[in-house]
Amino acid sequence: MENNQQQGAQAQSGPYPGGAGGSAGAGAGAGAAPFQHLLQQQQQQLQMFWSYQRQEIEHVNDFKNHQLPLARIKKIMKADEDVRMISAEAPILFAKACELFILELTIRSWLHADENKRRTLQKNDIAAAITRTDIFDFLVDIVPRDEIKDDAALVGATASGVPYYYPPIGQPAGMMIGRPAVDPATGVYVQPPSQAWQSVWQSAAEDTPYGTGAQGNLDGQSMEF
Amino acid sequence: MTGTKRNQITTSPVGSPTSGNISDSYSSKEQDRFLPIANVSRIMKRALPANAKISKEAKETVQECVSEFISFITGEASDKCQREKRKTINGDDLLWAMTTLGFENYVGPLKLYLNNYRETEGEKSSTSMAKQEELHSPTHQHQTNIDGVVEINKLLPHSVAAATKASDFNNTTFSAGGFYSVGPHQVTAPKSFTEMGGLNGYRESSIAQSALSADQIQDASGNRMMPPNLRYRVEW
Repeated sequence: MENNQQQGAQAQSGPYPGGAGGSAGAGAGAGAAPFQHLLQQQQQQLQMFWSYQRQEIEHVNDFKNHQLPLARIKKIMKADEDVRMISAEAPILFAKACELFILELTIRSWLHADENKRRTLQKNDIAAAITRTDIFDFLVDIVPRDEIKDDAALVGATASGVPYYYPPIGQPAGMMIGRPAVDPATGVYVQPPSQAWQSVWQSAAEDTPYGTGAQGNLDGQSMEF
Repeated sequence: MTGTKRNQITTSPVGSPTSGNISDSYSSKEQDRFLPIANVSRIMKRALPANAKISKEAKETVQECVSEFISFITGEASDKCQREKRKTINGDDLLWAMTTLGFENYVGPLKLYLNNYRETEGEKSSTSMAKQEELHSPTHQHQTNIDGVVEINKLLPHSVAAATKASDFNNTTFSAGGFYSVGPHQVTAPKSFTEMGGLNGYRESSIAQSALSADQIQDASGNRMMPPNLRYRVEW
């Protein structure tokens, strides 16, 4: 399994050196913040993850040994009273879907632990991954607010440049905790960094991205509500 | 295996009634509400470096998150079945629900997985599935084929239809994804890139079974080219 992962990584590394080189050149010219490299690394890791998953699934031919028990999955599905009948393939599909979900959530959580120079994955790392990722909004209530606050404190204490993004949907506490100083980083985080974006950042004044980022956020909020 | 000590009281922002049902129905069997912590832990380790450790709290939190994920997707799929007056939730309903709820990245790999399953293990299941789909909607039979183009073409109308029926949150997500001119809407805009990348990737892998390089190039170019355009629209 690990060998396969390494092979996948090697295969993936082909197209990236060019991009990384270009990014490094632009970074050197502009004196970009170091977190841009971090973000690019994170994006690359997630891309490799999805490509690897697609490759691995193509070779699956044993559907009787699952990482997760089908009976338990079915029981969780049946907890909803509206659910009447479930086809045989549904728990099998969910077994793989939950595997992908656990892997993605764990990868995103580890990125946060790594930013804070820790080798042990903690609950607040998972809280950070949930607050940073839109598709995990439905998990917000599973993680208590104090975990998020501790996390914000950690981020404030360790690295002010690290982006920390709270989605505006139903997150008043998150908005309170969020700091305007992170807005430019948030803008960068929401979109993968690219050469064109960096060139724009070069030509513009340092204050401009902050203002435009804030404006974008405000407009986003108005759209949501 | 002991799960979380505190009772699970959750209400999803998008409105998932299943959480309450879980607490009410199985409060006496707390461990049954979650997948086994050993299985969850094993999968988590595959995503981490060899020297990484996982606290017990983290494992328990992911346990809860997975159950919530299952209930979240199942609830959406169940609603769809009720609207279409069908009683059985099948794999395609789950894939549709994942697309609707923003998990487009998952649908590509899972389509492959489901097709593999139907070809190898589920010959009888495939036959009954084909019959069932013929009864309820003849056009759905295409979804059992491996032809990615047809599947992707059918996937988009579902998304559009879902946008008109789903909650406000989902509506906003899909409308923003569909119209790039909604520049200020930064939150959901990147999703459209992921969705396009995912769909393109799946199409490439479907059309040419071994075109991994094309798939990778497509993903890479998609990720690199699209953001700048949107960035310009957002900022100016």
